[in-house]
Amino acid sequence: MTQQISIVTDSSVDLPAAEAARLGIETAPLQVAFSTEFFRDDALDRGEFYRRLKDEPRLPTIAAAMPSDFLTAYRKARERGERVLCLINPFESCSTYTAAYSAAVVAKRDHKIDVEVMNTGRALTALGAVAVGAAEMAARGAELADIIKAIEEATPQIDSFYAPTTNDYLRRDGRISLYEMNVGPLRGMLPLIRVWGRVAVIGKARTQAENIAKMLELAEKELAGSEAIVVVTHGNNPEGAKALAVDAQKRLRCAKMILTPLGPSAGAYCGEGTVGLGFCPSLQKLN
Amino acid sequence: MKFGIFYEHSVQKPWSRQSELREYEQAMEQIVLADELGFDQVWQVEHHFLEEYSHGSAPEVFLAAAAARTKRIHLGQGIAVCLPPMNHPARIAERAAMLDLVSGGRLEFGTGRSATWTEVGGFNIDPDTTKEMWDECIRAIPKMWTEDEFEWHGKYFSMPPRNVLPKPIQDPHPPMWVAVSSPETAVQAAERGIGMLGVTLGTPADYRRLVADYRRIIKHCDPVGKFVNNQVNAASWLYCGEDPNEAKAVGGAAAFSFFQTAAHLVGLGGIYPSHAYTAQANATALLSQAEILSLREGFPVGSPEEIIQNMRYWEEVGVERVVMLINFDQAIPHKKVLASLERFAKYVMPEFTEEKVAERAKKGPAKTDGGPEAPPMAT
Repeated sequence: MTQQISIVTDSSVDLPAAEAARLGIETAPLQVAFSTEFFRDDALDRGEFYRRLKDEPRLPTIAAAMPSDFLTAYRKARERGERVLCLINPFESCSTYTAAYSAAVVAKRDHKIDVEVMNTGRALTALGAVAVGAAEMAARGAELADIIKAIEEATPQIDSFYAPTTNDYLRRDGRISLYEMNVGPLRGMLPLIRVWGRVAVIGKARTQAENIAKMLELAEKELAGSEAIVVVTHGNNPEGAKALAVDAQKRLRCAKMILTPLGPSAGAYCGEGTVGLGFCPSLQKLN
Repeated sequence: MKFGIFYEHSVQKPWSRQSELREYEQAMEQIVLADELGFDQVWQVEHHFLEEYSHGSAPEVFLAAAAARTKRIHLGQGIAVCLPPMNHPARIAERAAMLDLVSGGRLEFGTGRSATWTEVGGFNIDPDTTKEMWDECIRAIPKMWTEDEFEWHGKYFSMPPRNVLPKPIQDPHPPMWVAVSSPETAVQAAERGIGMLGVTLGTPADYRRLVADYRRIIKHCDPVGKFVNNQVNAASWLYCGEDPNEAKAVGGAAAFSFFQTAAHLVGLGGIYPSHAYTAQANATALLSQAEILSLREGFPVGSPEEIIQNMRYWEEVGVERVVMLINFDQAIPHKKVLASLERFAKYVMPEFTEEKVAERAKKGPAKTDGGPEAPPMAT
């Protein structure tokens, strides 16, 4: 037992397994369904995911991790910390809180594990950056209330953006007017996507490069010079991610940079070739 | 703090041709009195096919009648079911705008997606899709109200350019709410900048986490309407009795009747393995706990003094409004309901004026924790 708090989240954060293990973050896998075929996110290879995404007639359905998987994550987390902080956020229709909370009730009743479940208000890649920040605070010996307060304070500066190479997946999803609500008709243009609890199109451009430039500009503005944990993600586009990481290093004060493949949650709407950015200011104890 | 009442329009068997009429007439008389007494809002549900539990399928019709008989009380659609196969969004927008007009701008526009298999299945709707349907509707409807040429190409409904008429009298449009019975929806309400209309008949402790998440997240929302409605409206019981014993006997009977009837509803989560309804798999739990749940600590059922104490719990949790079920299955005689409203207005309301609430806020939080915390529970 080396610290007071250990961190649990779900696999929507797309943190690389080795990095999550190094930081002591346990993740409960989402459930992904192509038609009637179900996968646990941790058993779904990213290359296979993007192949099926192209070939399947319907976009996959993403559901919250099962309570039993949250419970397993809590039990592992308890080996490292006295209490568990589970950081989540509902994405689209997922009943993530209900699953995480149900498991927390059982963890307390049957295993005497104290779990605090926090809806952070930020999802996917941004939530990944939050989890990393929280794990680092926990490793420095922070208490539960301090970590929660730091996340709450940082929320306006936590965000995630994605620049796909196509708008085909948004079209296949079908909610076109919803996606065009803020930017007008996409027609042949490429969307710039923000994800909090849902997918929103916040900009459009003729090229992915223009959207990447806009993404960095927004990140720079939101972080306003704060040192940050930055997660760069990609849909089968490692070279694009490396280039974005280099640019992000130049434009942002990166305390930590993580490169990771983009999973099914945002991947289903963005598709192969996408690059994305999630960030969170380095979390500190506040007075 | 503002107080309101709401109606399921429950009608117990055996029925006659007069059963529903009697329920509606009694409700109308109660609403007229509530308006005179200074209650701020009346809400009516939209439920379909739920025998006994709710015969309130057309709230805008009932509320239009209430508008004609009242002067100040706000009229809440609690909720308009935003599922295109059940209600086309343009028809929802039209009816709501018309109600807003005929009531002189008193509409509170509640939205939701239904939670029972009887209703969703009755319209052949796939339960997995209802959250997405609701999301499309709540983004489309404010545009219908505020734009002269509305066009939509969606997954669940599409329409060519049309001017959806009439436009509401409230400028830019009526306040929007969503029925919240799960923590996920509290977060989604906050992200969308719409009011949290609690529909769990709960205690202040039940609402504590929902309200805290909602308050934190709405500060940084992306509003679906033209303005942010950042209010929390909690749902609970009301029976303000002559004394504690009378209150618990009479109010407790109605609460028990509600939980018994609610337990027989077929919640979607209990019959259909939908990822979109896991919070609703509760019917069995409700039935087994009906008696325990009937009068939990924090329910405003009691003498005026007890209710004042309970309402302070709500105040501490941070809700601006409490909307209360004042009868169920006509378990409480109509005259007693009227008397309960009068006692509440005379003794309880004066303790929750803006000035008194502000004064207490200055002194800091009360020394209570609002009762024991309970797991999420939907009705």
